[in-house]
Amino acid sequence: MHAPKKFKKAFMAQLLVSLRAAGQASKSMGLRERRDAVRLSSDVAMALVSARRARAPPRSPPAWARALVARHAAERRNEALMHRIMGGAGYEMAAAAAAAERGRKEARSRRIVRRSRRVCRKRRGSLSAAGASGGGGRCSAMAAARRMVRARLQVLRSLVPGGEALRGLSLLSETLDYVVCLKTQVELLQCLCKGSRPQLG
Amino acid sequence: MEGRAAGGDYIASLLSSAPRLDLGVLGMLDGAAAGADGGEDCLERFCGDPGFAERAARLSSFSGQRFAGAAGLFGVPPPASAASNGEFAGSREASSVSDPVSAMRDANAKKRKAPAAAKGKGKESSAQAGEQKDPDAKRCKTTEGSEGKKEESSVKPKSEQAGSDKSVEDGGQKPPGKGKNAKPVEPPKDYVHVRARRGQATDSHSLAERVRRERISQRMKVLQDLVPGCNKVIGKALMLDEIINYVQSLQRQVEFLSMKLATVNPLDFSNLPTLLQKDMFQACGPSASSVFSLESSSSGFPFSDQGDVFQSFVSNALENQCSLNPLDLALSQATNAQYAFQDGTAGTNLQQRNFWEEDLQNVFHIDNGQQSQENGVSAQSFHGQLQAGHMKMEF
Repeated sequence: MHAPKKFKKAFMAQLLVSLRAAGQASKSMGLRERRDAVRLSSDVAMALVSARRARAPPRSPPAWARALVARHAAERRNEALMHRIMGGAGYEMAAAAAAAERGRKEARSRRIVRRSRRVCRKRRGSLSAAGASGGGGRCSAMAAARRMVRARLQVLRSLVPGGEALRGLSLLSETLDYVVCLKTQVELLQCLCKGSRPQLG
Repeated sequence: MEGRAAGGDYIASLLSSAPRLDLGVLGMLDGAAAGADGGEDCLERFCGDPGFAERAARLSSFSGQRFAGAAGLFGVPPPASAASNGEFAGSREASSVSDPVSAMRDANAKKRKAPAAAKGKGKESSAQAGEQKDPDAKRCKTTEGSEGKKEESSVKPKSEQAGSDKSVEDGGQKPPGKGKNAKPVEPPKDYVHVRARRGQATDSHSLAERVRRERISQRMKVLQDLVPGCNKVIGKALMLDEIINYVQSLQRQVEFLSMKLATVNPLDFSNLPTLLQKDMFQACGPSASSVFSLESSSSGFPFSDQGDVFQSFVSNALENQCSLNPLDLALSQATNAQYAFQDGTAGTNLQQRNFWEEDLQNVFHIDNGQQSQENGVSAQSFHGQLQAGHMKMEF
């Protein structure tokens, strides 16, 4: 619904390019390697196309794109393939991977700060909770709800690539983008799958 | 929530004015959705608000009015602004909005940049509806509800705090929508100033907070549309749950599909010629042509004596090179030409397939032209085997 035709086409084109590159890579790949190569190529295709698309109306490329590519680039054995897919720009992605490491550290420190803040708030909250008993029940429910939300946000952060360092609004935007792209990715892969088998029955 | 329900007449008037908005909204939505990259774009378009300043001015005129009057005013500006901003985020919003109060609210903090801001009554309503699900909504409610109260104490700046809310909660629990008269307290600033509703804190913190919350609820709304099955759920936590499940399932699907693709189609770039489209031609012209030269040269190999597979495959490749098949059509054609594998379980046939795959790759490689003969023969034997099994080649 959200993904326009152009996006799909560009994605498919890029996907085929990268798949071809993957196919050329080695003939003697085991199944798992091939699967990883396919996944990598599709992910890279996704990231590339979405980054390209983000360039048109000038917006920053989505954070997950970089993180995704960086994640793949981090593995040494993928390097050749990535080079082939992305040209020499693969090095840039390798540098991005290094940056991702740094980003993770930053996220970690941020988390620590947040946790400390949370502790302080809880203390304060408990104090005032003790004070005003009227809304006590509701308040604890709200606090519980907030805790649940936070836990889920944490899970979401782990799911979405590059989401570690995000918070709040940006996390939701990234999730949105990522979901859209995942959807198209699934569709395209299904298309390819269907296309590469003869129709049964 | 209870508090939001304003006078019924207001809602009625709102709804009556809604249809106009709905059309505009739907149009905007479609346009936005069609042309948008995703939620991002939609939101941008929603938020893109050229008439923002004027709308703010209009809203400021609301301040002294009552429901009916406000409703009238509410109905009037939309036609002008609906085109510019599909702010009434979805007809759903407009119709389900039962809080005229929020409609009054301006959504902008002073320090927020215009494009990203959620603006106007529509956003307010959507945000408000979004906040309904929010646990923070409690705070809003209390702030709205306490009429005439200067909410300095009620609103804890920028914290979604249980503790602070508590003190507020017992105060104005019933946020009647009557407190529509916004406090005309803010002097006009360079940015669009937010007109605080009556009983709402006007300090910058709470305003920024409100703005932020509205943005978040916008995003949640879009996500709700995106993720199937999220409509039934209300509440941030539950929606996040759904979203998480959805993302996980999508990722698993991608893995599974890539595995499937890897097993079904060992020769990855064999897909290319069959799936070629015009766009792809233009996109990767030189590379595509190189592939095709490969194909055509390979067709020159002594394939003819081999199984129909290769020949038809190659001919299909050449055909599709010329034709502009839509993707699906090309795919269905491709299915004819492909050497069929038993799909899914790679276990038993893996050996055979691998072997065959190697042969095929050898065949199609430019370098290994000489081997093609023997490889082709052995491949054909395998091909025969498999064909006996399950292939149905339709040409």
